[in-house]
Amino acid sequence: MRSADEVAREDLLTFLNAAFVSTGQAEFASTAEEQRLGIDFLHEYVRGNYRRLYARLLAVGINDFHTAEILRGLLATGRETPEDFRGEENALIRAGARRLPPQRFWKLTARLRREGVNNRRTRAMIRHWFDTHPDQTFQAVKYRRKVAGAFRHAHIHPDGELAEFLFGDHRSPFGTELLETYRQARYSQQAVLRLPYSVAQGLAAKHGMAPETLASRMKTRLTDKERLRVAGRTEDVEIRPERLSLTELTSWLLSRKELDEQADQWLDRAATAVLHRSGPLALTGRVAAVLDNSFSASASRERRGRPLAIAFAADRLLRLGHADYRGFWTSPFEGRPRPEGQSNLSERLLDALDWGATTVLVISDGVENDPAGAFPSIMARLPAEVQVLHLNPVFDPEQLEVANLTTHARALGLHRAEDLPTALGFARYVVGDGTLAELEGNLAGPVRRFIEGGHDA
Amino acid sequence: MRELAAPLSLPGLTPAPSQVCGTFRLVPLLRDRDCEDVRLVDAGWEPGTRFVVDANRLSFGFVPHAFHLDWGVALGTQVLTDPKDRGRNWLVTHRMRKRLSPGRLRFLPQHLAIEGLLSMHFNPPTIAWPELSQTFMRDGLGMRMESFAPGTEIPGFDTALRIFEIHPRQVGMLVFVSDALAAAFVVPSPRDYRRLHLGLLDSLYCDLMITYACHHPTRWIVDPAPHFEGASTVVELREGLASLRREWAQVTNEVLLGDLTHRGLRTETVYSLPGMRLERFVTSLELGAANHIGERILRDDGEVLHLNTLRLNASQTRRAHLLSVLGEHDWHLPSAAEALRIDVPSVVARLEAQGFGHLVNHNFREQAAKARRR
Repeated sequence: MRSADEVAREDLLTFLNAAFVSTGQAEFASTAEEQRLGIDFLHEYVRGNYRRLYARLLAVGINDFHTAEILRGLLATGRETPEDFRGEENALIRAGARRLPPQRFWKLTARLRREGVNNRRTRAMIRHWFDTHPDQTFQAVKYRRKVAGAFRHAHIHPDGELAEFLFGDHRSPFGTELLETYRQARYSQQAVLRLPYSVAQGLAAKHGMAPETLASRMKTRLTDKERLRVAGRTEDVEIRPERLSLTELTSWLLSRKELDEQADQWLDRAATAVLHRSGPLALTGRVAAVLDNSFSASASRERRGRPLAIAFAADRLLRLGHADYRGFWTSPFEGRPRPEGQSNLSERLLDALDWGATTVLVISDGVENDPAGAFPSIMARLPAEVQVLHLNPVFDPEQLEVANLTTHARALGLHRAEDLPTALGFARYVVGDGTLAELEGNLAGPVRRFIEGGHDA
Repeated sequence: MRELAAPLSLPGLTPAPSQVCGTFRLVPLLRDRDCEDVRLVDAGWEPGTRFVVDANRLSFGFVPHAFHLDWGVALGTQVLTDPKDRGRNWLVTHRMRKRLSPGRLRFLPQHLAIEGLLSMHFNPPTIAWPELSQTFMRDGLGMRMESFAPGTEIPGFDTALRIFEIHPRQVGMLVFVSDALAAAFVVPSPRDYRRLHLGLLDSLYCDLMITYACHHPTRWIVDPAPHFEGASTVVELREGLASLRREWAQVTNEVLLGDLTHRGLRTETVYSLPGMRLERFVTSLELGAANHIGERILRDDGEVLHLNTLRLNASQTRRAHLLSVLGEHDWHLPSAAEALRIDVPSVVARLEAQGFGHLVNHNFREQAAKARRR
């Protein structure tokens, strides 16, 4: 019989892995519905059994999809909050909502409205978010429908011209410049070009402007993510690679045909920035990485090439962050990696051991097929000083975990290459040293900083 | 020319460890020695039903695709240009195999094999026995028909093919559904294979495979633990990995291919090329065992360059078997009945049950029916 502590640790690690890695999108071997089913179950389970930790995990740096899920879950089940935890939970909800990017926040309010969750905390959260937002007019224009819906749901009466803008007809001119631009965009093409890009897209169609024309005329005003989205379709919109995060940059570079000198420089710069923020990597000795660029690293249409991008970016990070490092790809390549070939992870592990590595990081989706099942057998016979850690960018909804190649420890989910330093730091807890009380203690500091409005991990 | 040949084997090819998806087990085949002088390319035809006109035969059926076989010295990396292929979009196709130019042959995969099944076992009678009907004497066997299912109708097959990771040196595939061989497919080089991999979905399969695809998923793999026992250094571990791969190849050949490797084939050479031949074959028809038909291109030293097999279900086997026994005995019903170890009315009953009742004289049929009733 396992103790309550061990059960709790298993449950939390499963949830943490899921919360770091999964995004509800289709993967190589599972559909989006299967992913959602697994994720919904995990959330309900952890919320029911470990509510305090569930709320505190908002502070740890899980991805936005799960932050929104946690907030929705907490707000919908307010009756189950223990008395002494209520204040902290409210503070965590407020801080979590603040951390969400605006589009996710408004999507969350739309979902709360759809599900009929309307209690005092919900209304307070929406009101607080909007009141403390620095640029309310911009929000009202860019997310007009969702903002109006949220205000209706929470019975909020905005003051000034916003009430007229959101709920009235736009007969008379507005005083605020952005609202007036929106009003004029109905009949003026010039006004359309002065609006934010996503709003302009819809109105441009009314004027008969082609989307490519709109993008090239507005190219100085696009945000970086919008540039990435439009890049495939128009020629003149430029990407500013210095402003992209490491994994975004890698995904974009791998979608192009060649990797030239300049791409190399951008990658190095982004990786150095990550290392600068996180400090030195928690690695010692000779480190080898077994990197998976088999066909399954191409994932699905929604997550195109993401596992491969994570592996490539992690390779770059390790190369710059650790002196004695070498990467072993399942299908060695010249120039740029392509997701083809089989998952012959065992062979690469043996190559790494031949090279003399004492720590081996395996970044793979864990499905080995050339031959199947050899990795765990080899792991059982490794020399004692060699440590193997499996980092997995793919979540398997049927087993409710990230697939695990190692026998003595669990695999860690890896959502972005930037999380690699954090994951290496967590490795100690994952391998089995550390109790639940220690984990709670370790979380107390980040939680306090999170609530007081600092930046997350 | 029809002859009896050695059992089906895969010389020059090594199976690699299989990948399993649900009920499908897909085994890649790797070639030991690269093939430089033969290429097999899809002809780019639209799938559709066509009439195929041969020298003395007219066939009608659904043709999903056609292949072009190119041969020459050091074809290896040449980019092959589009052929001037007249049969591309027409309803009527001239000839099941047709030489388009020196060095290029067009043939319809699997149709060769199916036509072989329909005609190979039929030997017309030389003596006009009274039991046989006038229709038979005048018109011969008439129309023979068999039906197969396309791969798109097998549930889960498209997913299994889509998530299969193609080996860089892979030239062929063995498709097992619930661990029963559904098809074997081999092409000359890895580049050809990558283009034709998804074409497996359009090929024809036995309708038994649709039933098999609904069974429980297969789960067994070759146990890796014994191969690494006692290994402590990296060299020993590598040796264990190599021996595990060898065991996979051995298990595939012995267990999965089963008794196919022991039963003889009946082959017919369809076309001869310099140094190779294109032939179609049927395994020895044993009622109750798995029977396959297919076509293959063999080099003179036995290396398999192209292979495409199709499994028969029980009723197709029975029909072919009955016709072949009758043919062997020159359609003399009493001696055929003796060979089958039943009496003559039962032979007539079998012919009727399998749709060949029109070959037997009407009066004789009634007599046999009366004899059975008694």
